[in-house]
Amino acid sequence: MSRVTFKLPDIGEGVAEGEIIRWLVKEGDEVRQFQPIVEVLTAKAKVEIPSPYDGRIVKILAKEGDVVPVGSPLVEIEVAGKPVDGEEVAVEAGGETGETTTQEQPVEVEMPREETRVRAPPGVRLLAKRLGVDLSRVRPTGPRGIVTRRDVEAAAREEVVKPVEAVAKPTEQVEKPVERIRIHGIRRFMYTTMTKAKQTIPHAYLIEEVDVTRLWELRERLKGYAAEKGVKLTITPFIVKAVTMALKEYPLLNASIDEERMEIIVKKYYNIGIAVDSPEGLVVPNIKDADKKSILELAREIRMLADKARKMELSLEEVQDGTFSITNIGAIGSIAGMAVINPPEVAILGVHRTFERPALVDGQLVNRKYMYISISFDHRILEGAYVTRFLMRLKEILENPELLLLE
Amino acid sequence: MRFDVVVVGGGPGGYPAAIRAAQMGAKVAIIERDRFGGECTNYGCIPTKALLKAAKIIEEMRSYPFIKGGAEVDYGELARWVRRVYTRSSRGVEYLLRSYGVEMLRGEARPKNGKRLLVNGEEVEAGSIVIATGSEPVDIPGYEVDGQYIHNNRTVLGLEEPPGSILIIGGGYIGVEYATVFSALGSEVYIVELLDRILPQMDPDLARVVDKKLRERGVKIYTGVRAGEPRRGDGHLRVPLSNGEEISVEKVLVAVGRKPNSGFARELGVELDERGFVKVDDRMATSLEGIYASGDVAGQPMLAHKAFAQAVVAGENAAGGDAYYVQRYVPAVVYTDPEIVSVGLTLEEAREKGLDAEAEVYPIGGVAKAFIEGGADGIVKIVYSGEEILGIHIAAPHASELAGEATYLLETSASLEDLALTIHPHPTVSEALREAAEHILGRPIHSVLKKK
Repeated sequence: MSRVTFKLPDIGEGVAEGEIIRWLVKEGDEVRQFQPIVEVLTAKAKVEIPSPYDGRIVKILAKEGDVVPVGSPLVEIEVAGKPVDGEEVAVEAGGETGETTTQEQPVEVEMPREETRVRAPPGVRLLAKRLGVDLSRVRPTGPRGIVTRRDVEAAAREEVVKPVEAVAKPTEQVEKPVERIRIHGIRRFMYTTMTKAKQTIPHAYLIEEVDVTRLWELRERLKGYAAEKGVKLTITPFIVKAVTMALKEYPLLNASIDEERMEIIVKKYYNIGIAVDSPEGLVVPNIKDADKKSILELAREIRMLADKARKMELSLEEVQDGTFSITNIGAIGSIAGMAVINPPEVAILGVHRTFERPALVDGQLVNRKYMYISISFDHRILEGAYVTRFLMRLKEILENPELLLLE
Repeated sequence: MRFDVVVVGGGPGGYPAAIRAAQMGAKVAIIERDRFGGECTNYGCIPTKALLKAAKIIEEMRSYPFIKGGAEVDYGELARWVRRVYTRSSRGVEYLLRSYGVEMLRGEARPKNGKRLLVNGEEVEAGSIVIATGSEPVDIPGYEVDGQYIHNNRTVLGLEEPPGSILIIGGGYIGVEYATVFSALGSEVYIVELLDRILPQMDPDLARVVDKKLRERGVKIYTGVRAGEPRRGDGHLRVPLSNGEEISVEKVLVAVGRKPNSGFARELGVELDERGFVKVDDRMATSLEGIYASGDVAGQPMLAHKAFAQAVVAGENAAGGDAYYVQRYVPAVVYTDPEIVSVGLTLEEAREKGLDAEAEVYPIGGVAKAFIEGGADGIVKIVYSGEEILGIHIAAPHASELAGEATYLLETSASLEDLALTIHPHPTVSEALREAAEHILGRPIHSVLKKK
């Protein structure tokens, strides 16, 4: 028998940490290989982590509610049928799953360390003092366990989140009725990405009016057919389709920026994100290869993703690798608005409320349906003229929905 | 008069606090009852180093075979030179304080109420206070300092000629430094130490090197011995020793230790520990809001370089900053012949802490510069655990100049390998440090490995 410390594995692009939602096993439980042992909420989705071995859970090292970085210890498992020589300590250094050692010496278990024994040069110690970071709780990345300036700064950033938890406990002084909502999981991801988006991307905005009378008529005519196929048809799939058409003509909007190499990465695939307000905050699942899907397929997929988002059942894959996003606030209300770009994308389309208004058509006063669409774009790489042309093309398609047939 | 920061004491625990506070824009006053620069500049570190320089020259003229006739010393001239050295240092401190616009008040500071002090009857109001009142020599019964027969480190500087014979009570750093001075000047020197060896605070291997050297110079060392009540007569003191012997000497130097000057702090009402040191935290803050302490009065070790570091922290915080005393190691340096340095743990201390520690004593005889400098019998002793250096102890010519490097290695958690892979200039005594690391790693070039 040998003990193995299993660490939070790397579970997907851009996922640096996860919040322990629920342990599916308890200490002493027997587990089979691939049996899910813990639910982890990452920044983007909920993931079940399977056990890498057959064995027994010895010790759970992360509490429910803990936010743990990738690579930090989750659980100690006594692995069946993996004999280890009494004296020899087998260490699979750098192994994907964890490190193995003898029963007497479980590794990677957080031991309370005397602060003066923590290796850190004086400048780092002063920084820790100033930032109020307890050195013994910092994960060192320097040689031989030396704590570096960066390690302290990273620990300080983590601690900024912690006080919320600390004050969440009601104290006697708090008399005024308040509710404290922890910013964690998806909400925290929303918090950080939106901050980053607004602080780093110079947003510019355009708004255009679209006559959607004919689009609504088309949708009216088709909704019966769709209903027969079990699909509730809205105008969103038409907009998604129109967007992919316009994006193909204006590809710089379907892109991201590689800041390290100072290059624009123009995507030749169209994964269109749809913003959904889940109970835990904003999520943006995306429709893969939306340009290759029919209106009906798009309608079905949008509904499915929205449902999953509301039930917190989205997979990581469904929220990763979007290329352009749409936020359809119009379904609820708002005449116009300015959305925030969903990094690493470079633009987002806002779709607003449809309203009726009298208009002059061929000298006749008629009742028409209008809608505003807005676009927020990264002005570092996109010019207003280019984006206006995209928007005008999108308006043209939406006002003449038969153009969708050409695609 | 009202100041943002008032520093009480103009020594190494005080004047850096005043300067740092002034650098931060505070209106600062510093109160000194004697001379700026404090004990260190005027009675301790600086004058003794000047005397030891003289001792060194004299010893070298005696020991190198190519100098004929030895050295003739004009003690009066030496005393004047020593005075010039420390006066210059003290004036340097005043110059700095003046340049930073620090108000220098001369007199004894007494607490009035709150943060109001009285200096020469005049009221001084402080936004915050730094207590840097230092320490003073400990007296022993029967040996009340009279400045004629019985001396302490202050009065001994006033001697007009070297004593024919002197008993030094206490084999600590002050005792052995004066033994080095007076033995070079031709005095008959006795050291009486209560504990079982001289330099009881230092690594025993270092103490052994110094002990041997002093004995070679004719110093008589009594360890594990107590000096009884002296009897005066015919210009001599007869001192009975607890081992039954009696010695007759012209002078006695009492150097059994120092105690904090905490009268001012006690009157002010800050919390003291059982030894009379002001209790401070890592911001050098005392138990009272807005009152800081630094230097000897703030605790062991009572060394000027520790005082400097603490004073800067105290001064910065007193002026509204956010500073911390984060240093872990305070090197101890004794300017004997050879000089000795101790920083970090001794082997005994490391093992008491439960560390799996080992030590290697590296004789520096193989280092050419050490031989040229007359210190081929020195050692470098490194206490270590695996790759980690826990303590460095050096007895070597110019060892004091290596103390900074040794401390830096420890503060930055350098490994034995880091030290071994750092080029040290040749020929220097510093090579011995690197060689000692190589020796532990089992790959020295300038020493012969024993076959296993």
